[in-house]
Amino acid sequence: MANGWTDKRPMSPHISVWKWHPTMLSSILHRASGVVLYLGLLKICLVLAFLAAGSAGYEKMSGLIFSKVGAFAFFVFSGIMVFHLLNGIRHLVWDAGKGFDPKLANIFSMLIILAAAVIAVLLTCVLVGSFT
Amino acid sequence: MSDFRTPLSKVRGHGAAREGVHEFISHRVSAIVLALVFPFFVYGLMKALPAGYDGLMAWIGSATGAFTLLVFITAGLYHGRIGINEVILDYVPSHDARTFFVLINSLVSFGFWLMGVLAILKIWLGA
Repeated sequence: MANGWTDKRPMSPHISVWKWHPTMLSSILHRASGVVLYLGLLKICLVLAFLAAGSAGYEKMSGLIFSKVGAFAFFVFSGIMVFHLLNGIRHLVWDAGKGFDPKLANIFSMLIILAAAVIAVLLTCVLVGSFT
Repeated sequence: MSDFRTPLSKVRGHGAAREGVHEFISHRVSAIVLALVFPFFVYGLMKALPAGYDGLMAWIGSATGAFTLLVFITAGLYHGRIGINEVILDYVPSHDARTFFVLINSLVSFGFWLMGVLAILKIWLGA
């Protein structure tokens, strides 16, 4: 937007005067998580290619997958994925024209973030538990 | 210098884009597909991961696993490509750079999709 902007009149003060609120946070997180999930999907395709190429290529990565770092990465990614899924379902509800009450939307934003964290913890516990 | 352009000619092309409905609907349809396939993906992955290499190969080699993964990466990369395009169009101000990144996004999405699909088919049909 700053590109080629020559108008000297004051712009509407937008970002700097915004007060943080839950729907704003979930909106930003939805976009950010979408970008991260896209990168994760590219990684999944890469892993599939490694698997198809034989066990030699896969062995190089498997050490990371079954480590503590791997479990933490699983926690982060599953949390991001569940958040994007739940918030995406809410976006579909919004598309249907429902759920625009600000108070309720704010409550749902926090609930979705909380639910994503809880489900991610559960999934990680199940995964780590099944390793041993 | 006089201005000979009519008011109508000045405003033409400055209205609504009159396109983008296709992306809007595709984005939502692929989102619904992803939401439906999500439980199958997570269940299959959680079941396959503890068994390591053999577990993953067995999962991809089964008809259910191969189908789940094919739908997941196809709908996922389709959905992701539209989403990343939206981000690029929102944040890249220069027309040339925007065109470049949108092109790169399409090529990367298609390339990785093709790679993933071929890998799944190789493991599934070769198993």
